[in-house]
Amino acid sequence: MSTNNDVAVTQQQNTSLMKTPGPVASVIPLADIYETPDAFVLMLDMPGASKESISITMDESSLVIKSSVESYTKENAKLLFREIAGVGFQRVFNVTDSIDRNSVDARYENGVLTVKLFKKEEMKPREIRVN
Amino acid sequence: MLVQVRRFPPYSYRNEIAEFEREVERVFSAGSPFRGETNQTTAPALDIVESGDQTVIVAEIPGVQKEDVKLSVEKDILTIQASRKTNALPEKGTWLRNEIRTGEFSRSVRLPKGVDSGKISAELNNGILKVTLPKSEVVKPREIQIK
Repeated sequence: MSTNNDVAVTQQQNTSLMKTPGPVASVIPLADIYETPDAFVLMLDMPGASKESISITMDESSLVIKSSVESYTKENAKLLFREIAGVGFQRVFNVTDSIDRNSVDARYENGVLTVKLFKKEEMKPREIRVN
Repeated sequence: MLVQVRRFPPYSYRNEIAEFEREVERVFSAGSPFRGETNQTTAPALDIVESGDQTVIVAEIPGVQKEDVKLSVEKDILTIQASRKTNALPEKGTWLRNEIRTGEFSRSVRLPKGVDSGKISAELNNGILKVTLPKSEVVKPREIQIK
């Protein structure tokens, strides 16, 4: 791990391509995604998000996950050390039309948002019997 | 003012360099049976906030169960240890993306003077660990009356 600050500055200037378009004041949550025969499951690290503020919206081609973060700082509190961005989360995923938009499951637990996108019935793998 | 005792590079969601390094590490360790888990300990991102009669240490540890967090104080060093399990893959499942780092997390902080270590309390909520360090009576700011 490099501790050279000069390196840090130059690297940060080149990371704009990695960012999801959207408001600057949000963090892209890290995600684990897996696929099963009947669904796609996304797990996103969103520590400190307030459950009420989590919004999951899906249009024809994208799934947008957003949330704001609960503030823990009291008034008159002095911040001595800061590493947590604490601004909110946003991430956009591309989705195909194999997903059934009417059945999406979401659950938020221990700072992890789990979203289950079910595949359309006709998109599920089917076994064909040989007679 | 607290002095940081850093044993490991801090892990921050804002730290894109760390992100990049992790990506490199992930790519080159693909195919490892210990997916997402490394034997390297990661330091969770911290905030430290001070208000009138207490100092609060806030750490990001998403996906960690309460029973997998260990807090210890030795002399004036507070250590937060957490262990995160790798997300389980169901049968017939295929990973499409693995960005979440699991395994061991640890970070140590030198406590400010005048913390009553017997009264340290902690709570875990939505992946945020909050450790409250109450100041002992001796160091609380107080006004001195002029007789």
